[in-house]
Amino acid sequence: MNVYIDGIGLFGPGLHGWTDHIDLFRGRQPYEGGELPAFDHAMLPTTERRRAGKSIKLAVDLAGQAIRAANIDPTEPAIVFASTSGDTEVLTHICAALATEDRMISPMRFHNSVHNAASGYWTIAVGSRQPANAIALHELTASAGLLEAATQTVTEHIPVLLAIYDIPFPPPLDAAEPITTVFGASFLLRHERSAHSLARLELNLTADEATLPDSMRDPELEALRSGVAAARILPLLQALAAEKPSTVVLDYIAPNRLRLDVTPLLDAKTEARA
Amino acid sequence: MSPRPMSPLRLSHYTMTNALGTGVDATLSALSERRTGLAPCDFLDVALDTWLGRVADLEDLPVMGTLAAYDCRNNRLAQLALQQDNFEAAARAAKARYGADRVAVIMGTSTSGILHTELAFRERDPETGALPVPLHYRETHELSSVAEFTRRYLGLSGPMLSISTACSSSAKVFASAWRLIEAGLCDAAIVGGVDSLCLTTLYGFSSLELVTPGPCRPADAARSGISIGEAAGFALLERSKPTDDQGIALLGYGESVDAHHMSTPHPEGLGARLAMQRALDRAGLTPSDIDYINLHGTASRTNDSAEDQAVSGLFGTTTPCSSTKGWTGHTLGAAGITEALIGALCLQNGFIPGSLNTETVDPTFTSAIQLANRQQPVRHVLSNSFGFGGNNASLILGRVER
Repeated sequence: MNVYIDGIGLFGPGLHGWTDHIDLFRGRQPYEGGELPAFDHAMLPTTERRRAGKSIKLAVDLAGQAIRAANIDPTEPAIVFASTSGDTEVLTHICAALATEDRMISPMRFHNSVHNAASGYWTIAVGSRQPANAIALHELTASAGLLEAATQTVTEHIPVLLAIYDIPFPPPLDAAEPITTVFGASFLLRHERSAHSLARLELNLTADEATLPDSMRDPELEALRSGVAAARILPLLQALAAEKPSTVVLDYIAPNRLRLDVTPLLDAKTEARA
Repeated sequence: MSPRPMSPLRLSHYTMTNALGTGVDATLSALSERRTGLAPCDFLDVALDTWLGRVADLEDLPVMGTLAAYDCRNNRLAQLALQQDNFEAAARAAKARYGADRVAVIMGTSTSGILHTELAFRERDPETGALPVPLHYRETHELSSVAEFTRRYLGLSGPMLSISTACSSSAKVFASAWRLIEAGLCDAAIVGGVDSLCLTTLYGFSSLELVTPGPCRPADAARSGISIGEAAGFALLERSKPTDDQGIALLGYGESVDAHHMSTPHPEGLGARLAMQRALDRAGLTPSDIDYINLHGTASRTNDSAEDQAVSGLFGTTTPCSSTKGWTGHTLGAAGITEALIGALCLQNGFIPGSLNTETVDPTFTSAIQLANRQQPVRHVLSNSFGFGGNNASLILGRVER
């Protein structure tokens, strides 16, 4: 299964936007973390901007990045938003409120608690009526999101906007389900190459035991990868930053792994070599 | 751009458990006898004035053995449903036929096992605020908990996915299954939907003033909100073969969003209409080919009127339609598959259920809402599921005949 990546978005501690951080993923500078950037969610209408929680702002920021990088009309692609637990802050608030005497939860918090809240806000912001999916698969969420988005573009011939993101649980749920920080990445996938295609991605499931899952060369990026389910996508970003074709292996349902053969499409010469 | 026509997927086996009872026959007989599964709320210590579609005896049916960490109301409901209608044997046969890693598991749920976490918050340490240990969050509450439970219970290792798009969740599992099979990543898929009673949805829908005090009355002039239910449904999907004899197949699916409001549908049902049109396009059918529409029909003021406009706008005023939520309640993330499988029962048994509890159809409605059950051959059924976030999915099922 072949797909083309037309736009990439990135958000994390000290990370905002893809092109500014390519050198980091090429190993030319160490990852030093840093503060979380301010969310860019200006695309949301005023009412929705006021109502949006952290995971919604994160998803909208990521979606906007990939759309702009791919230079595509935001009403064109289908949407796949992947996150293991969605808005962990809203979930925690609701569970705490339901353990009190009056059990009152606000209507806004309730509708923000659905896993597809972020795609709801995004589609309202851009006026898209395309299919929107919201999926989860615990520490395999990134692989599952990539597969859902890839199968959709390949079988339905529609561009797909994929955002993979997580935010940490506040106490006390953080002890039961540790997510170390806020992280997200986004991609605009197409079934055929366009003028904006950055890379070709061949996806296969493999049960070959010699094909080991990738980690990150930079130890701090590796800590990020292992601490956040969404950050399991980092090895793909490492490969996308490279100037040469490479293979990335992500964990999937054992015994299968997800093998990604990545061919950067920097120019026609690279394409011919691949 | 219209979607391309799709190759059908056979529903080679299916099962459902809800307030009407365990297994397909319980639902079929309750539909035929027009017997509701709704009853006044007696769930935990919930003091809300409402009726529920509750599944009996889940309190006494724990998940045990190697999967004990998955024990919670949602996975108990999944387990109970998997044990009906020889579904496990059908899954085992598919595993033998294709290989464990060539059968996918795709589940839809809205709230997963959140009840488990809600109750744990009542047990917080008064000094530290800590939750009981171990909480088993991953196994009970994380959104893929019931997908992982199902996959392990059936011993499968194919592609897995959990879809959580509120009340369209388990309609969309059919679309994702078709895509995975079409892309060659698996040969068959177990699709399902499980949603169970919890405080979040009971108090949440109450906060939105969407819950009615009595049993819900879809499309009624005096409708005043939903009755919440719980349910589980599973289907085994495989490629249709030319050698197939009589059976039921998924012929089309359509997905869309409203781009309108988080908890209120587009007033004219534009997104809903788009989902139905896309399902027709994929099935290669026209509106006149549809013999029965199982409405989303929640009995909320806004859903039913928006859906009525979408349906009559696309199908005209004569295609028989009804909501079956007067029987099961609104089973939220399980509604998509529950109602698709009710559609399969209509195809197999040649009947159309009339809306239960509906006395006087809203005089502003123009679609052909059925009040009484009808016996008649049914070739194609369309089932609607719409959710928060304006998330819509429509499915078309049909009889395969040689």
